Amino acid sequence: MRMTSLPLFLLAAMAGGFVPVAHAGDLERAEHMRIYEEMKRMAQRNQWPAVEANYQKLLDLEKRGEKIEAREHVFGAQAARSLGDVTAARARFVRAREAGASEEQVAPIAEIDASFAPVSIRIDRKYKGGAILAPTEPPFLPDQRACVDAAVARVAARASYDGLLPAGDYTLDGVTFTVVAGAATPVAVSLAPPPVAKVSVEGLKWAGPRASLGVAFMNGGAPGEGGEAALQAGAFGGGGARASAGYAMGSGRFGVVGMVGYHSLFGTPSVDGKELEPTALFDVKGNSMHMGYAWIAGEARLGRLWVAGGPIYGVGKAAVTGVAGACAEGGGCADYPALAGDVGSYQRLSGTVFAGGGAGSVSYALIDLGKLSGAVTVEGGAQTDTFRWYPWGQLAFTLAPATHKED
Amino acid sequence: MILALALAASTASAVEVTWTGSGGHASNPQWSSDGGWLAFEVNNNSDSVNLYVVQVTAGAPGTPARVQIPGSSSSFASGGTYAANPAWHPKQPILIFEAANQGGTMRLYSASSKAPSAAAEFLRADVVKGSLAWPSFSADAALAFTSSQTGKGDVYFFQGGKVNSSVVTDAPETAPRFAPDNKTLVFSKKDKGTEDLYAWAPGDAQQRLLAGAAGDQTRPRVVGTSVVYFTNERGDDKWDIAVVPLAGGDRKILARDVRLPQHSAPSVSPDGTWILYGSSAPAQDGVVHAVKIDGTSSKQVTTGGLSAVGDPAVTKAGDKALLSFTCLPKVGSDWRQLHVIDVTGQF
Repeated sequence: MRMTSLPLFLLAAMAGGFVPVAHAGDLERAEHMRIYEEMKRMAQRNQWPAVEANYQKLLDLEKRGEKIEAREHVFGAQAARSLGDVTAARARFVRAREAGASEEQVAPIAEIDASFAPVSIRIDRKYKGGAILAPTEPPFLPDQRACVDAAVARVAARASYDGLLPAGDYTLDGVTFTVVAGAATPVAVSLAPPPVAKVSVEGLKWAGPRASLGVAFMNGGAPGEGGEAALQAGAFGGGGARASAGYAMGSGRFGVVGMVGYHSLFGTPSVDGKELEPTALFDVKGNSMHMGYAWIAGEARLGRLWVAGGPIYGVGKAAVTGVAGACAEGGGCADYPALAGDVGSYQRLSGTVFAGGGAGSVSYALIDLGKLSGAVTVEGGAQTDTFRWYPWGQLAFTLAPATHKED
Repeated sequence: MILALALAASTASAVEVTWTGSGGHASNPQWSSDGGWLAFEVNNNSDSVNLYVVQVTAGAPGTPARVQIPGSSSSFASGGTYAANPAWHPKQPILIFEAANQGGTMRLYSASSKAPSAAAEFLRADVVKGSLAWPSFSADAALAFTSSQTGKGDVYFFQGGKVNSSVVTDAPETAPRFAPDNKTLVFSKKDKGTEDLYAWAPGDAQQRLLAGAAGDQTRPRVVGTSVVYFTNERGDDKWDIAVVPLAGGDRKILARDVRLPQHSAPSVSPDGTWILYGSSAPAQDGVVHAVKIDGTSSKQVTTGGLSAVGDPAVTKAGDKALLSFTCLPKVGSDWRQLHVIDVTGQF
């Protein structure tokens, strides 16, 4: 039977030139009848989950061209109503009416409209409270009880509910709302975490990234006592950039800071305070140093004023023009007689620097960027590689976790 | 003697309640708590018992609407369905009744008086199994009913959205009714072949026998501190109304040869002082009889020549007192009809 209907359908489609739509065949119709009989039998025994399952099968058949009859929509609506989905029940009763059901069969529409109203519940996923929906007084009628039970389960599982609820008073984690029967506009109920306040210094934990970028200078001083015993570069210094990134955290006024960074130095060689000029025999190369460093510090937060201090250690490469004077005057350079005079002044030296010391910073928060604050920072410190000191300073812009109280 | 002294005749005329659909015997009228609605059964003596609801305004009944339970595909194809034994919610216009589709299990259903065709199963089988029957409300809206889920017929409570068992014995209990304390239950239990009357309250270890004479003592109703009930201790077809103290004591017969209603307990006036009944004696079955619960006086309400009067139920509706009853017309009817009569000032 089905084989004969298919060519006819294709022929009609080609002749008419229309877009094919689903049409039920004998197989679908037979299945439709079987489902209806099963549905009816289950409904007479109040087996509503089974009725619902059969209605879903009818909806599948509908997609294949079968037309669901009014009485079947009524069964589907009764099943949904019994199972607590009053929203679906009402929609199915409406479909039953559209399919020709009698006013008596669709009387529950008026009953639902007179007893229920739409509700929209939303609970923010960041909300930390409970999500227990509860009626002030349990409804008496079964469809209302089932509807409330379904809504309670839905809210607990999915933190939301869009549908009908019977008229009455409800609470949702302490929030009370009233559903008025017949209202057209949904009662909107939402639970959200309290707004993120600008945190107060007092008693509030803070944590977040910290970064700093700015201009800096560093001075490699003359080798100290003992420095003359080895071939050492003379004093040097210069400006450059200093950038660092890390993490800051604390509780209340006090915290810790951990940073890693980079410091560059570029300077002009000089002798006795005079810039070293190139000669016919010697060219002049600038002094430079590139140092990576790590800094840990304790930090005090005093409103917008941040003060930090702690040990620092750096490792870098330096290239300097000019030998230290003590060495040139015969100390550690005795083994290098060729370095005497101008040769020593133009001698190029390079090597690795390992220098530890201390550093401190003072910042003042100027702007708030979300959970961070932007601050202007003055930072300084001094490190030594045991031959000489490397004092340095920096003017920077710093981003760090905000802790100050909103003005 | 007492009857002669207290006899009072009503001159109001009874209004017949008519319904569409198939014919049948009307029975068991039950008034809503506000007296504005009347539920009654129609039994076609063939394949169906249907339940109807009608609004009664100032003593004038409207058009009854049939209560339709889910699972019946058409309100006009009710063959095989059974819907009966209505009990009204004490505070809302809601009806609880027992019903079954053809081939289905008898369960409890609920319906709003305004939408009787939108009835729904009241307690699903995953809440309480078995055949459910005999719904009865307390004044604070607790519901007592019987269930066969243990196979023996026990009494259950429904209150606050939950079901609890109360009276569970080896013998089947039926017709539970609450006492005014909303806790104590009276009911009949079929023990040794006949029904006896018992009382039980939460916390009681044992049921307490109230009346256990020969024959059946059944369908009790608590009125104040007394329990009125039907008894056929004189023989199978000889029904009387008796009263026994709820606390226990001797029973007293209030009325003899009464017409036994289909389901209901003895009818009581709103003020709890009169017991109403129809007589099974042909010479006295054209009126509604009333006897004081203490047995000190009685009276009658005439019906205008109707016969086989039974199933009386009286209510207070605003400033009126309305009495409903079933009866046969003077001539020419196969079916018992339902009537309403204004008895203001009499009860």
